[in-house]
Amino acid sequence: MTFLINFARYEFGTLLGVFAAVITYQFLTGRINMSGLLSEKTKAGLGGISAARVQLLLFTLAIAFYILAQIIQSHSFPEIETKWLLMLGGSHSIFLGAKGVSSLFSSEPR
Amino acid sequence: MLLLLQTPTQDPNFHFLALVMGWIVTVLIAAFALAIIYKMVKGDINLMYLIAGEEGDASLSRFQFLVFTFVIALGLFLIILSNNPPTFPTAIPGGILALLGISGGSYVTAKAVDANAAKPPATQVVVTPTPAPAAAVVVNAAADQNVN
Repeated sequence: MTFLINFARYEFGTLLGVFAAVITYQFLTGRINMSGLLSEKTKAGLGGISAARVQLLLFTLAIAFYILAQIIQSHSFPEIETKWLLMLGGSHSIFLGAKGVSSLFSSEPR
Repeated sequence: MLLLLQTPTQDPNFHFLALVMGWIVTVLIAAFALAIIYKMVKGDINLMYLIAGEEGDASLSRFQFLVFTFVIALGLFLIILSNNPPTFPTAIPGGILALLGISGGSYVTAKAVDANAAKPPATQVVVTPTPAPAAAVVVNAAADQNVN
């Protein structure tokens, strides 16, 4: 019984690790399309780098790493303070606002 | 497996049955997961447009939704597996749920903005007022002659 529990624990951990590795590898080799991730999108095609997208990406990665590090350290979900949630919500609002403005007022909206 | 540990029973048949079922479930999950991983590596499961929008370009709203979903799901698995015996966490903080809500809400809102932007502009219909017809004048020549 104990052997089964340990086997299942290592099995799930290994499978999750392999899933993450495969997806990360495909991100790095381009098999998952990431073109235009940070670019303004118009009907004419991809524009320049969008500051709103860059800041959202940075905040997302920062908070994701923070949560993952806390989970690995304490083996429990961390209590996320309101200021972090407000910061993330503000970041998303800026991104969505920029997206909405560009779709409304650009000459060739997309 | 949890039932096996948390409800000790003196019935050996139940114990054996639970053990067999535990092994079957474990092996089946491993087989399914390995099949999916094999197909992902081989390319039968195409992840090219995993985070792409309708236009085929990468969508940041999808990417951030994917990141937070993976982080929370991976964290949940780590927490369950780190306990001995493996147990579900007793409480999930509201901040984590709020985080998922912000991420999902942003994804849905971005899709709505894209869908609204993709709609063709409404065609304008111009209505020109038609001039009022001139009043009709009827001359009854025969009636006039009779009067005269």
